[in-house]
Amino acid sequence: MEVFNPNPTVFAPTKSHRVAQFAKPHSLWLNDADSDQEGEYEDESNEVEAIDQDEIFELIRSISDPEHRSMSLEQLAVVSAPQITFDLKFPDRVTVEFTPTVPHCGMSTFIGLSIRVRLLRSLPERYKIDIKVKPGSHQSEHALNKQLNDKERVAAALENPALLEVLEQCLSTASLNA
Amino acid sequence: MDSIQRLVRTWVASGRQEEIQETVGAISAGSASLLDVVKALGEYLTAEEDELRNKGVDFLSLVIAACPSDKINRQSVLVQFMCGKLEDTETVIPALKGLNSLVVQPALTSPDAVDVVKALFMHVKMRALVQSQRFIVYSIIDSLVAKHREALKTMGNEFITGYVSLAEGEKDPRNLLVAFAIARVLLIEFDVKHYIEQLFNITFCYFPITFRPPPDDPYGITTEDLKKALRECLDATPAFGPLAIPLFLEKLTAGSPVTKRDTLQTLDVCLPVYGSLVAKENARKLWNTLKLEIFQPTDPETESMALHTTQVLVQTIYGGPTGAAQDQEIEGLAKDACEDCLKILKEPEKSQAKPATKVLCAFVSTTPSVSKFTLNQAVPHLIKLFLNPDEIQNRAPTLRLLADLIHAARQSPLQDSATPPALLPYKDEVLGVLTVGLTNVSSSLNALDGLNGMVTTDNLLFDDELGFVVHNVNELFTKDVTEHSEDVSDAILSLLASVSAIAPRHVSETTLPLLFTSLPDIAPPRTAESERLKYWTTLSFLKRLCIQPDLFEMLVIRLSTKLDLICVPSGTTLQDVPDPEPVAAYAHSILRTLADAVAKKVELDHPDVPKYVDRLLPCLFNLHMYSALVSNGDYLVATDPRLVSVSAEIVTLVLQTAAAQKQEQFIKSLFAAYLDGLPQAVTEGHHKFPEDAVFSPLASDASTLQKNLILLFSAALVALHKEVALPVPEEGLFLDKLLQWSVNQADNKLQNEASEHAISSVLNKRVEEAFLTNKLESNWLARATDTGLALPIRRRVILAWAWMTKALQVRSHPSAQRFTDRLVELFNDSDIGWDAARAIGQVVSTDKVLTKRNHAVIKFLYAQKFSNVMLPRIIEGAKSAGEPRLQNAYLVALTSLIKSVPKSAYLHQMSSLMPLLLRGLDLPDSEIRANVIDTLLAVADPTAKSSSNIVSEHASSLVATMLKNCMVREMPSVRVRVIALRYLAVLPSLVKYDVLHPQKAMVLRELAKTLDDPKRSVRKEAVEARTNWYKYSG
Amino acid sequence: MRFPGHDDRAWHVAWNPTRSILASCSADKTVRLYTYTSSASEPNTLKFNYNTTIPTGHTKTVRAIAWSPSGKTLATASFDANIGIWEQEDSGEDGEKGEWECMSLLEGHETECKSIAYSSTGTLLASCSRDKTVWIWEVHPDADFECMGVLMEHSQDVKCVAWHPKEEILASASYDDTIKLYLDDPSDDWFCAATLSGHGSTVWTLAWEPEQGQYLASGSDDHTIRIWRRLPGQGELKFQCIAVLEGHDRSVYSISWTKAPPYVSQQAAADGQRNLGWIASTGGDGTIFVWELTLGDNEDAPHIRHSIITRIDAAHGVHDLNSIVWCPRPGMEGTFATAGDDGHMKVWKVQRTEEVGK
Repeated sequence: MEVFNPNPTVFAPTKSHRVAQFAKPHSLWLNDADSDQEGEYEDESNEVEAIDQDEIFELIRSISDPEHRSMSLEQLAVVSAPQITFDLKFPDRVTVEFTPTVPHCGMSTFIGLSIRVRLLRSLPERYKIDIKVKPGSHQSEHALNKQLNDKERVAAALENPALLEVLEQCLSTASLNA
Repeated sequence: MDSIQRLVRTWVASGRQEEIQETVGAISAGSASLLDVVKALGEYLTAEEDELRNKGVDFLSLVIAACPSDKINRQSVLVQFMCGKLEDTETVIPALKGLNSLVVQPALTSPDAVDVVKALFMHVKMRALVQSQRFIVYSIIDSLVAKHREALKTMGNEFITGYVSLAEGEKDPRNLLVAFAIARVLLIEFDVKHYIEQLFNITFCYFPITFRPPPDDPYGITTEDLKKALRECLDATPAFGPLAIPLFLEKLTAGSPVTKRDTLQTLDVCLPVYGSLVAKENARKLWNTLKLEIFQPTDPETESMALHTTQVLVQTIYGGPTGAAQDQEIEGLAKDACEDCLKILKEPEKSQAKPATKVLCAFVSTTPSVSKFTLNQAVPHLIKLFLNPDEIQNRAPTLRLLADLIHAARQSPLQDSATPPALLPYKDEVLGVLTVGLTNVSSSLNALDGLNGMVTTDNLLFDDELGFVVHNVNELFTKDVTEHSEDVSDAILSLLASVSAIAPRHVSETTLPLLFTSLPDIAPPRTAESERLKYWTTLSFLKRLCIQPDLFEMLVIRLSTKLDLICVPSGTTLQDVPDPEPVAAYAHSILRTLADAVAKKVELDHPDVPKYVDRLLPCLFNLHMYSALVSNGDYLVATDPRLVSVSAEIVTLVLQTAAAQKQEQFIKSLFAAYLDGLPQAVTEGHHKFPEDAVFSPLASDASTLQKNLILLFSAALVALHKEVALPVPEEGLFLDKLLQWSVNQADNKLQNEASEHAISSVLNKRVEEAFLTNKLESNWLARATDTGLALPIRRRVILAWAWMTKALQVRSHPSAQRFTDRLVELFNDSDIGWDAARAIGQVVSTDKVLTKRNHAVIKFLYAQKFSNVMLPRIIEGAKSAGEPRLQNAYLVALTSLIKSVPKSAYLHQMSSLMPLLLRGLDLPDSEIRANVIDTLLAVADPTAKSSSNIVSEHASSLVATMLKNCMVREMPSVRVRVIALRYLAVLPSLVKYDVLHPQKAMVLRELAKTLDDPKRSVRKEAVEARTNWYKYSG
Repeated sequence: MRFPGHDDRAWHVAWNPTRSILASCSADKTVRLYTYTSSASEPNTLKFNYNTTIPTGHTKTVRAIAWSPSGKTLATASFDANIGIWEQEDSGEDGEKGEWECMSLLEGHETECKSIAYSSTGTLLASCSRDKTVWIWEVHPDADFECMGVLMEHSQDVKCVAWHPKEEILASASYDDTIKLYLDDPSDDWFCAATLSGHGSTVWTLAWEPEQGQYLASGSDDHTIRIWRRLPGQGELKFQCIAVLEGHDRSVYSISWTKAPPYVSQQAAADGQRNLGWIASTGGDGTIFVWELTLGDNEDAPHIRHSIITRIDAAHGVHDLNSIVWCPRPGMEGTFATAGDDGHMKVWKVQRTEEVGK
């Protein structure tokens, strides 16, 4: 296999963005650690917590890079929370931008695909996702974007067993308990 | 003589064991000799017929095998005879058997031994024998090598060559184990310098071992056995080195991951034997191959093995007597490898920098000289890099690498208290860059880690330097503490913790004052979110920092003073505090901090906790009692039950560590306060109680605020040793009083529970038989069915009863069962049936009151005993009790019981439980459903086939009901939705694909809805579940 | 009107031109058939019944289906690169129709086959694929097919093929943003006679104006629909874009063109205009538009007018719509079917009141 970037720059992954606060949001009171065993379910109210940038980022940050399996897309700064944006007119339309580590990265299609699949599986159906490479970050930017957003091509790709296997491997690291 | 002849004839005909035994018997008895046997065999031994000859020899061999050694005379004759029989293809096998028994005879002479070997070499055609026969040959040689080594040595080359051609091409694992053992002896003991190549061929041809033991292997030989035996050959002689290394290299580059790991492990044992010369010659080649495994690792395991082998290689090269010389010039591998890595480290931010550092860190633990050399190279390089203005943006990764090196140097086995720390020469520069690194957000984390490494390195930093470190860390506090990300705070704390372990002074003199002064004296108002977050952060620092005795003492003094100041501000009255809640919240978090710190110390069994019975508790009592007394009803923060609860926690924690007589004193004053209205007795502190004030919390007319203080009273009672007698005339009466109070007088749940805890605890430690019988006889519980009473009261009765039952059950008291039975009798009550049912579980549920630390009397396995009795009854009831209402009550009991006992108690009954649990999931009570799902989760074990079979049986109904319970439309409880999804997530690992694949599409479609749940926590589980179902395939 | 759907995304629907059958195909590799009846009492309502499911045996998504004009044969185009030809066996007595069985399997494409179409006479079958080719097959008796030509004109995968309603002209649309038209040279092979450029991205779908075939409509990833007019002239083909219909705000995946019901065309005539029929369109925005196209009487300087007579948002809830098809059968004007990512198929009718029924 051709190596596109043998020695990419590594970035320190941040802790999960929604670290357990020692305080309930908007509360005067500190949680009584052992006030009740069901601590983790304290909030039984069903007030809506909307899906936001960070939550979507949580979904994709730990996908592994196809070329450097030991590293996550976040570590290689391929994805980041600010690169996830909501359409102001239609809040259910999301654009996820990613940044290949090198402009000639032949893995970019695959990375985009893995992001798409992860989101297809993990976001409510009402969301319509566009996946794009960061403008100017890839030599064949247009072709890449076009391909990643052609639902027919994506569907066909997902019926290719060989490709699907690698995909599952890269997704297998994607977990929310990072 | 004739008798022998007869025996021989019959045997030749029958081949039965008896004749052999009889013959042996005769010989042992002295009535015959082996020679007679030979004579008797005469005709057969010389017979024309092959089979007869074979039988003849076989008979003799069998006799010899069974013969006591002392009866075997004329060794040599027999040996020669058997050797002779080796020439005859028909008698080879029995002859081998014979020899096998002869060679172990003590009387065997060296010449005989040599003859046997020669005969074997000359006549035995291994190819012609089956493995079990070849095994005999190996055993013969093995015995001879063991017993007559010197004799065989004299044979010289003849023996070696003979053996080599004999052992060549052996395939059977059992034979190989012997062959390897023999080969090892040859390699070590015999003069084999001219035959290395041959021996190499008959050993290395088996490397790597790919043998997979057959399922029905009678000898149970494992791959590991063979690997081990073979390795002991491969590392038997340095002479193998030149031949072996190329082979290893080939396996390393070409082999599968398994082969690679095998090769690496083998290299680890071989290299030291092959010696530094061989290692030197092949250093480059080896390093280049190992490098691949480290820089483009196939998998983490192989990577770390490759690192280790690298260490071994370096040790082999430089470990020699010359290598020991500290300051010798390092040439060759270590130098080159170091330079390789340093080249890569020019770009510390790149991914390759990590493995490069790993290599350097590995070097640090090889030999003193290399370790020194490596640090000489790496540390200055990194420091230079850090200080290079063009590299500013790479400071964070640079420090990461530096920190790794520091830790490696610290952990290096070469680092003992005798030798000065390897890092000593660079101490100042390193300390310098690290403290600079502290000041930058991006690099501070790595800097802290590095400093922690230095602080924890013995004899590295002087006291004043520790002070310097602490000082610089304190600088971080002068910034807004809330700015730090969680991991930075953690790093700061663990660093300070490391320091305070060595020199608490620095922390207590500089850090703590800083933190304490940053705590406001007046609670920030409701709106001041950030202020609040700030003091929360500060407090969380303090509670984790002040565990060490001196620091803790400081914490107690400062915080309790602060507490008094906040709760009873001098000169202010309630009117001045329009919104008291933020004040209460602030006070609460301070108490919380104290409680958590104490809890931590108790957990660590710190000996200084008991003294706070006098130093802390009286202040707390003082504060709360004072507030309760002066408030005459209106709100004073210290009267807030939330604060009282935390103080109660502290009381229990501290008092439980005190010795019995100390507790006795304390409890005396406590009772004086609560029963005799002398609050001063337990208090101490600057709040003076008003003269006219009456403190009598147990009085029926007491104010709620006073009644709330029962929490503190109970908190003390539950912590007592069982020897401690209560300072009352009659404990039974006291318990009764408390019981009445808890049912009839208590104003709220808190008071109610507190008093029940006290009752339960006292009952458990100091069983009051009279009290018990009275309760049972009068069936006190029956009043729970009294419809005349208010429902809440009736519920309290049940709860109180449950706590009493618990107290007895835990210590397996004989009356416990009767208490339980009373509860079961209530199941059918339409109002409180379910409460009684739930109580069954509470009886054995874990709680914070009846614990070992609280000196409760707890019998081993009491919960199992309980469920062994109750579970069958309850299952029976749930299945076939009369009306459905009763059945459901039993179902409730089942779910609550099963939730509170270890799964071992019911696992064996899963098959009968499963249908009931499924019914439980339809009961209109999310608490119950939660219990059921928790249980199902607890028994969901992908590895245990048995349980999964039961799951498979009910798979589709489980899927259906779980889907129902995870939809927000149908299930309001967040908790139930979450665990229902968790169960759906594990299902695929429990059930074979063919069972559930028809549901897959539907489940995925349904789970898609849960992805849109209003709660984030639910969506999180939904994602996991859906992912697993996507992966689920045949 | 909604039906028990597929297990996975529904890609395409097709009305049988002669019999009361509606078919849909899906990523679940099956084709589902529904029969329908209109009751004399209320002619405006259709009753649909699930009829049967053809498992097809395709190893991957069934992307598109097409009925032969005779209505006897159904062709399936699959991502497994093959084309299936299906006919229903008559099980003799009681006229009861039997199972649908695969008469033949057309292999030839190298990668996913994405669209398939019968010529107006039913003598030709066209298919296209990601392998950038368009194949033209001649239909012989007994489900025997002969490849008449492989057209390698597009530079990217070919998304859609559509036959002219009268002549043997084939149009194809592609990921390369262009539309190509092909003619059969009697003396030689099929050849590309024209290339239409103008769309800013993938062209997903094509539809001919059904009566004369004077116009071709195309829908694209650039969110627009373009109307192309065939310029007069013998032999050679020339087209010109005369209108761009804007309204969708995501890809237009499917369009369908039908002649308007009599009452509409009569009304148009009365207003001295010529009604060109209705175009139904849909796509990634989940919205359905029905456009009415009319033409000023002046044939030489034609300017086409288009107006939206119906708009349905969230036609399949939150899901994309992949296919929209008018029912071609007489008396069924104004009825169309849609298929969506939810795996469902729906049937709609444009009422006189522009009220959407069922």
